Amino acid sequence: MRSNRVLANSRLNKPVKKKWISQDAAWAFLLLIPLFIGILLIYSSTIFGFVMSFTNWDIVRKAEWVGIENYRTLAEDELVWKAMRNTLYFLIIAIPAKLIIGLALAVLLNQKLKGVNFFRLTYFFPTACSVVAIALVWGYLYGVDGFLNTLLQGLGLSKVYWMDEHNAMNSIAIMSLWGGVGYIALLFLAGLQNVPPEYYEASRVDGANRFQQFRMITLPLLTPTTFFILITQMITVFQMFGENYLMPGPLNSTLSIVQYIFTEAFQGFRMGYASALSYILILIIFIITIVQFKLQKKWVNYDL
Amino acid sequence: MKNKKLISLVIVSVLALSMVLSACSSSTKTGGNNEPSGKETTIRFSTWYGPGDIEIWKEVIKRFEADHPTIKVKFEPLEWDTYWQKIQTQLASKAAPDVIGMHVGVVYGYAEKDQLESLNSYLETGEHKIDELPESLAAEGQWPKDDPQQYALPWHFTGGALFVNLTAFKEAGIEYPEQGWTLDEFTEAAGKLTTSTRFGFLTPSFSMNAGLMGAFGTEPTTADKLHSNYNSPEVLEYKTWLHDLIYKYKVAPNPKDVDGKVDPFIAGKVAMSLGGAWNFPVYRKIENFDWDIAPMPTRDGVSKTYAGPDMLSLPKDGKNKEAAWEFIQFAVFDDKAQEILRNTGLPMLKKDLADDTVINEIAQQKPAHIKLFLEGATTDGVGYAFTKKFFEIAKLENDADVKIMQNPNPDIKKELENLHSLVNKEFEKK
Repeated sequence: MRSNRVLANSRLNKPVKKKWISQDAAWAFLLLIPLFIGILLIYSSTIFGFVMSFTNWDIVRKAEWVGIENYRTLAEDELVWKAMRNTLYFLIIAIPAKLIIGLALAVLLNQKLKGVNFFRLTYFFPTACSVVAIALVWGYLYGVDGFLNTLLQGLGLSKVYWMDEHNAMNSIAIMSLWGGVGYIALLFLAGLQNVPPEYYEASRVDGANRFQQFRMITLPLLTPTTFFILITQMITVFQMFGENYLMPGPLNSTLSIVQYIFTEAFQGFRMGYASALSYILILIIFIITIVQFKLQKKWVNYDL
Repeated sequence: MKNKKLISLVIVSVLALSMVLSACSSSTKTGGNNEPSGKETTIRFSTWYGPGDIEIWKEVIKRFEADHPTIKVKFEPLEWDTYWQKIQTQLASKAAPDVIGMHVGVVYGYAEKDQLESLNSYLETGEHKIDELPESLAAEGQWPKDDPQQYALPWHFTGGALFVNLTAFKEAGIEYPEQGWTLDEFTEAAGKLTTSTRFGFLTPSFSMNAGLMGAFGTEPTTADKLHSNYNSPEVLEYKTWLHDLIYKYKVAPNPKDVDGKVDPFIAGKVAMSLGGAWNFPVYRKIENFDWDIAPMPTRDGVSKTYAGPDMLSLPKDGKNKEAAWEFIQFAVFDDKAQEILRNTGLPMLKKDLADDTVINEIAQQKPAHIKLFLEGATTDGVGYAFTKKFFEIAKLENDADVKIMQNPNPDIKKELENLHSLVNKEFEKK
């Protein structure tokens, strides 16, 4: 009996060997490996790109350090400024149009009407289409003898040169609006459905009409959604490539920044210069996003 | 115990991942043997493709492998844009296929970067000689122009022909033009062919300008292909003449009014048009009117025809150069390959060009006057901006043409001076 007690005591006093890693943690590490490798690749190429922006690397020959030469050159490059102006122009016309039309569509799609789901699907459908397919179809619509001009001439109006240097950017904006407004409407629709109905009931009791309800309740409570759309759409516009690449206007009238980066990198193989351009683009997006986040405090309402 | 298992699992996973990654690296061992004799060698062949090219190349490869049982060819066709992006990175990482398709407009850029193997020694010791090809076609694969080395060989050639709507000619009471007809006669014919629904001629864009600009005695680049020639008086005169066809003689449409989605020649909207020989298979399907090709107009007795071969090259860092050369030799010089390859282009070997059976076979399918075109292309053939900046010059000239040809009152001299300066800047870029 005594000996058993001694044995038990000795077991209790024996220091327990600590596991250096728990089983759960080991599993977590294992499952995180692919993600870690992915992140490593992204960040290492980001750093590599930054270093490359100070070289004249052309893929073939050994890179030479050129200091800030690439950054100096891009400041004097007319095409950089042209691409910048084009991108800003697109930003100014396309985003407000998408916001206004997207909101109007969302309000309509929020009605309790028979068959409203069909309309929701119809307006969202272009969002699921490939940009290549969209550009192909709109290319035919915008042709000099295309569908739109045939329609205009049938109505006794003169034809429009949709893709000339004056109209090409607007035409791409219309195409982009058609392709993307369904997604914006969907986001607004989700926002509208999150507005508590009590606010409308209370305002009705106070005698507010539909317009007043929209202005004083709906719009303020949609500002977080609007803010999200603004940020994401702005980044999308700065990264605009597919539409412009597939439907180029003459005289660089639709050249976007990313398109120019692509041309320099994969057609001219001036990787150093393209990297410098990429870093300027990142900087612009970063600054505008910071400004938007600062300003949002003044106009975004999370409650009434 | 469980932890040990888990750690082993982690190590095995990492090892497996690194094996996968290493498999994705630029290992290019295909045959491993540098000589075609004895052991089986597999070579890789990549090129861009147009309509019908893939089937044709597959048949050529089949015939080559039957003739060369120790060499297998792995065919890697790519779309035009993808091809030029991929080939550059493959060459840079020394992982390029053993035989690569080469465009006449860019071969010089690759040769200058020392990425292509000179074919001179192969031609000296090989069973076929360069003089089996017309000089003008062989010259397009040579660089530099003052001390040329052969870096590419043509596998077929294409060119720019003057397509004419014979039905419209007949309706307008115009005879099929004689060899040597002048630019004035051409303009007059274009005038007669112009009706309320049709223009006589469509002004050409970029390389299709070659023949007519050649008749004016000039080219877009200097003889060394390293400088712009756009500010020469001859180019000014040529572009002014084209502009006059639109706004003074009113025999050609404003290019802005031409729908790029529809070929205006097929649509019957223009009666004469400069187009690529690659249009033959498509134009053979035209049923609304009869068509042919006509001799290029002349000026002061000078006539030029645009000609440009599609070529094959050996990368400098190729792993199976001897076997790859066997394949190039077969494609370029062997009848078994050429009788297929000319289906998407034109015959190019001197012996084929002199063979009436070969020429008549094409003439029967249309265009009837193919011989006239082939003679023009091989005796007075001219390229267009075939330099290391071909694509960049194309973009710049097309932009200048928008400003000149779409504007009734342009300052043509100023636009050409501007184009000249932009092209030279492009040449200066590394």
